[in-house]
Amino acid sequence: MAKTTIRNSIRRWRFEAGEMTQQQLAERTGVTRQTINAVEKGNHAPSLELAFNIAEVFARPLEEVFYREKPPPAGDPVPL
Amino acid sequence: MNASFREKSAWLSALAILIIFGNYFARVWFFPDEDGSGVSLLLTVIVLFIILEIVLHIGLALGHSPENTDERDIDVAGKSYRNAYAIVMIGIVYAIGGSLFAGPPSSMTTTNMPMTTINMLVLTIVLGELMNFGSQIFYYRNGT
Repeated sequence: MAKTTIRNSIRRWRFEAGEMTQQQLAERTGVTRQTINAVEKGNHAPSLELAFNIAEVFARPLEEVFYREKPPPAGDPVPL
Repeated sequence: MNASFREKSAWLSALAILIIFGNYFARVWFFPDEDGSGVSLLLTVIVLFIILEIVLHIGLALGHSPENTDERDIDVAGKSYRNAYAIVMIGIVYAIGGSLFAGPPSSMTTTNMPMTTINMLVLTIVLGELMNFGSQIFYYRNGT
């Protein structure tokens, strides 16, 4: 099975939530601001619990906040 | 520096280890224990290290209130301990091997353990801790 990358749209949903800060999101999900920053940048894969907590803050289904990005099939040109 | 309390703590601990034990091992290397004062020097260094750690962390806590541990901290700690474990195992095996195959020790301590073996084990712990804190810094900077 091809390896996929987990992406997220936290930045977008923070903007939609009235430019919610990372600190505010961190306080509502019980983690540090640095952890929210790491998740947002894709440097930390959140636990299922944290992922659900983040989605709940934005009142969105999980898959609208976190989604898989599949690599292009072999042979396809790599986009520049 | 945009870092969490634990990342800053890892930097300070790594710094304290490098300063205190760097000096200790430089001294042991260039001035081997010939007068039997190796154990007292080691105990002095350990006490100095503990004092330095306390002072540095009090200073850190005054400038940056500690946060609760979260899942990323646990993840970083787990991976860092795993890296350090490999170093510690190599060092212990090396120390045991050295003790088994070395000749009669030239300088024994009150514990009847050759000072060389004690220093080898201390070096193992020091390198293990450096790997632990170095890994923490790496994972906090570059992601887990």
